[in-house]
Amino acid sequence: MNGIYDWERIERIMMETKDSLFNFIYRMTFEKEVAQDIFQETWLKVIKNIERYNPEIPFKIWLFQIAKNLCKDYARRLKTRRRSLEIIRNEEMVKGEKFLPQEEERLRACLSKLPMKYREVIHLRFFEELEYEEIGKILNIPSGTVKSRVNRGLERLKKIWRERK
Amino acid sequence: MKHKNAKRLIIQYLTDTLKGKEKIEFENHINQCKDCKEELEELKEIISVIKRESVVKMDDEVFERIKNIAYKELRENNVPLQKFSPFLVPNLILSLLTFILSNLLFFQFFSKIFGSFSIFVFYLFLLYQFSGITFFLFYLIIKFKGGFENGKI
Repeated sequence: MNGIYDWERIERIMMETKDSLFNFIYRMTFEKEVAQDIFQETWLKVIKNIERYNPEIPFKIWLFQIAKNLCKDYARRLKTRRRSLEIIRNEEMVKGEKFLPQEEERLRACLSKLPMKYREVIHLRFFEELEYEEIGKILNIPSGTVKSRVNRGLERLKKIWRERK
Repeated sequence: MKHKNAKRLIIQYLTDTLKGKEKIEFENHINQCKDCKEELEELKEIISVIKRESVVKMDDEVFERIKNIAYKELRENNVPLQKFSPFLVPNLILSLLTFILSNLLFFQFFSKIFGSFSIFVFYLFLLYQFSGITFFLFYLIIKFKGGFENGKI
């Protein structure tokens, strides 16, 4: 990402990371339209701050850092409206998506009950298959904390999973 | 390995953070303990669902729209002089003052040396300065704007 005018390069990265970035945002928000907005906002922010990008860190990590911060801003905005992300992602909303396969619906219902800090590490570890160090860089936390969050998150997920059986 | 310890290590086993002797002991315990094995299978199922389920795909139309917005933003964002905006105005004023003062001084100098030809020589001198400025502006445009595109800067 040396040339700031290098649109072809940006476009290529956009295509390559499209699904993983969108899924990450979607798993944090559980609303397709909101996820699309945050996806767009992420790329606009990337372009506005492209000169601040440090080539020593992988571009994907920087991209996910920005997306993560925007997801958190979104959650915060919801909270200020006294509707936290955890509350809004209640079962009614989940049931509303009738087209989802059974397992996915169950997973979504379970994940929606997890606090965002666990949801993000679980998604990045098992869906994106990132290493703990990489997740730590994205979330700006030590890899040890990532490990413990993955463990606690899975522990909680297991309990919720059982309840929904 | 004790049952309680093994239970505690299930997640670590699944996340590949269990190594060496502890891992072997854990695997030995799992082969004998039905309870731990069930729990391990259950967690494996959860993880496999997380890995397998593609949550949602972004519509191609939406992606194209976002791409266009990003492209537009990139073009708008790369206005070179924005980078120097805090210094641009004082620099321009200073340059203008220097330009006027130096020309006044030079005109006095020319009139003493060239007499009636001084106006002609002074115009040549001005032309020289303007061509320099024009080249400098071209340089700025090419460096920061990335050149000319479809006849537009």
